[in-house]
Amino acid sequence: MDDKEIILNTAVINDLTEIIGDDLIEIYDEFNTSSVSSFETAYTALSNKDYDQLCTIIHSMKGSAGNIGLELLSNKCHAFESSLRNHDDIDHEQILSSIEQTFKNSINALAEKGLLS
Amino acid sequence: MQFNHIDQHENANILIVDDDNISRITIKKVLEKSGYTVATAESGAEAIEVCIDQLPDLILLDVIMPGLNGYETCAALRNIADYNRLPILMLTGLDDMESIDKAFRSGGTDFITKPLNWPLLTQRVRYALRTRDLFNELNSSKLKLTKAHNIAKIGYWEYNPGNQTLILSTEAMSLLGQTKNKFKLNEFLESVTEIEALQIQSEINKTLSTGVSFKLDHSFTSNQGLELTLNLHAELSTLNNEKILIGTFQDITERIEAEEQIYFHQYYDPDTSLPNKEFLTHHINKIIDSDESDNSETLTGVLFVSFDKLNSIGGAIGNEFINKFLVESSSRILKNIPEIKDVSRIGSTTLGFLISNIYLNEQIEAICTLLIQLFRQPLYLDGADYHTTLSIGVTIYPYDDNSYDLLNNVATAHKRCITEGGSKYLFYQKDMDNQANELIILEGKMRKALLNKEFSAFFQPQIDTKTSAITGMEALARWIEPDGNMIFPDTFIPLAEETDIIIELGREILIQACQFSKHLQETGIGNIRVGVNLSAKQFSDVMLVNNITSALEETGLSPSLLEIEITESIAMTDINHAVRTLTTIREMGIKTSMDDFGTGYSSLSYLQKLPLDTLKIDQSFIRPIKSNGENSEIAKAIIAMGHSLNMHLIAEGAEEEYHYQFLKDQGCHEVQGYYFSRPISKDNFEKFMYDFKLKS
Repeated sequence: MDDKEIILNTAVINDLTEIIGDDLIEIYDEFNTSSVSSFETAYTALSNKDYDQLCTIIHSMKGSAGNIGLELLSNKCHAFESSLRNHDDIDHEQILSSIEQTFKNSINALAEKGLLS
Repeated sequence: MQFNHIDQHENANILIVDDDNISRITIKKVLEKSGYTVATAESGAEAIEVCIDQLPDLILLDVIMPGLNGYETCAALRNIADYNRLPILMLTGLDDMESIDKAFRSGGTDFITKPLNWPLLTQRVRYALRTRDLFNELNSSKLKLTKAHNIAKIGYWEYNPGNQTLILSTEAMSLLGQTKNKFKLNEFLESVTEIEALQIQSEINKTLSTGVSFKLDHSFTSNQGLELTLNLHAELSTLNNEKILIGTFQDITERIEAEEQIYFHQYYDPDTSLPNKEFLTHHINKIIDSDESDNSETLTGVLFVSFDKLNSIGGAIGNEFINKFLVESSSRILKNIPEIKDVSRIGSTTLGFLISNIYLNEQIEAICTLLIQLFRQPLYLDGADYHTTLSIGVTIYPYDDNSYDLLNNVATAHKRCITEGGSKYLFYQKDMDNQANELIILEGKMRKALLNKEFSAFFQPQIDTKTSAITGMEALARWIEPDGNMIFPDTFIPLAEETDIIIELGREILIQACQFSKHLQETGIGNIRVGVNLSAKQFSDVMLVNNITSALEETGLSPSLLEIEITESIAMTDINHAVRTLTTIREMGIKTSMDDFGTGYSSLSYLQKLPLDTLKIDQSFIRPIKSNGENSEIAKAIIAMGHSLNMHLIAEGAEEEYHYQFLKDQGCHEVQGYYFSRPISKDNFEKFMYDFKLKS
């Protein structure tokens, strides 16, 4: 199993491709655009220590990512969401940064697969 | 059942409620590709607004959302639409039992975990829609079934023999007018008759032991007095490995009533509620069938009975009277003659019945005699006594061995009895058929003879015992055929009375009589009073008074020279009618007379009621009198009776000189008979008068 396969759940992506075809590209484009702004909002919330908002953003990203086959991103969001809900003593910024990196990797992987316009 | 709805789901409207834009878009696209129409909402509040505006066919609802979460939204949506109308599938990443339980408790139809399995999502949606439709269809079928049961008046029940408990469905409860649905069997059986309770109990036991289902019709009377006829159907079933009975009640009260009505119309006369000819035929056939099977040697008498002159009274008083008369007569017969079980109405004035299980013709003869005696007593109806005699026709099974012959032959014997004047019984004999044919021919000849004026009045003189002068005459009908052959009244009057011929014949004789009396007056021969007999039919004819008036007007005869004669039996059949009619006739100045006096039922009290001028003593009291005065006692008594009533007396049947002398001695006012002259034609009568005058 290579990195790309870990990042992406190809089974989900294949299912979606089969069902909605080229329209899937629009969805990934939209995810790409909206996530960039989501990370901005997330960093602002973090600096404001607004953990509830941060949790909401991460929960939403977890759902979106999971549904469209960005499995690694979804899993990381899931772990971070749980920590936030449990008020774990963790380095929020580092984790957020790591998640952002995974997001970028995911986007690259999608681009390689031709799933972005 | 139809499943077309499965394909129809393609166009179903689906609402996706999710705060996450990407999930919303993705789900939307996936479902749209499957043909659904998809709307989206970002929050619970928006979803509620959309649903208030227009309810979708299904909602996919995310659980975790800012504002109203999925559970709260679901609970709110359930206030708008229940499970059957709106499936709500909850989308949750929280796949622990608590979340699922919470989803169901808030009104979720089902849940789908995230991340979504896309191929499965469409199937889950389709499945949820199909379930909703099946549920709705089932519900609608259930409603239709309930409705059908209500229309068919069917209710279900279940009986558990272990605890002897009967459980009724809602329909059964309403059918039987019950407020509770559980009964002990014994309690239920109190609402049926004792015999039916035993039958039901026995059938239940049989079904429990043999497994064979049963059907049974029984009555049911509820506590509220509701009376039903139920069709009970029961089958063996099992519940928790125990034998139970399941079944239905069907209210067949209306059907049974309708069947009874059909039966009534088929076998009963609607005017009298007496059994009809069909009923009698049915019973004859039953007797023939059972006789063929058990080869018995018994006889069955088939009898037709009619009441002489009832048609005439009925004509005057109406069918309602005839109906009452027949009902009263029927009940008198049934009450007094136990051998007769049912009395049927065969015709307008004819009853028919069977006398079964007898061994000798004589037994039937004895019953006929008893019947005749039974009606010697007048029938009391509507405040008056009615006298009548019977005409009875009889035939016997197995001498005639099928119902067609039996009914034909009894009718022939009966008709024959009537045409012979009635007041007797006649057994069918083979030659009656020929005689019946002869009668039909005779009837045709009579009608023709009327048109050809072949009927003539003959006249028999009446001599005043004081002055020895001819003071009156009686007009009598004679039929003289073109070849000169004379037919006497005995032959044609009974048949004429059975048909309407008598009315026209009577009018003809009345006119001829008036003409002749007027002729005698005009030619100076004398004022000779003429007596004209009325038949029962004429007497009850509503045109009678008109006919008499026009006969007098037509001929110019003075009413005082006309005498109307009726017999005792006619007067006594309906005494009130007789009083009214005779009073009217008398008020016209016409004399009234009772013919054949002494032969009928007249009692003094009846005679006093009747407005009569004259009593005509029947010849049967005069003829037997011998020259030495033997056999004269009854005549004497009758004459004395006439005197005591201050009546004018005319004696008939004076055949000998000593008859005349006896009657003169007894103070009888006038005499007629062969001693002076038999009835003679007009010409001969004129000649007779001339000669008689010369003699005296």
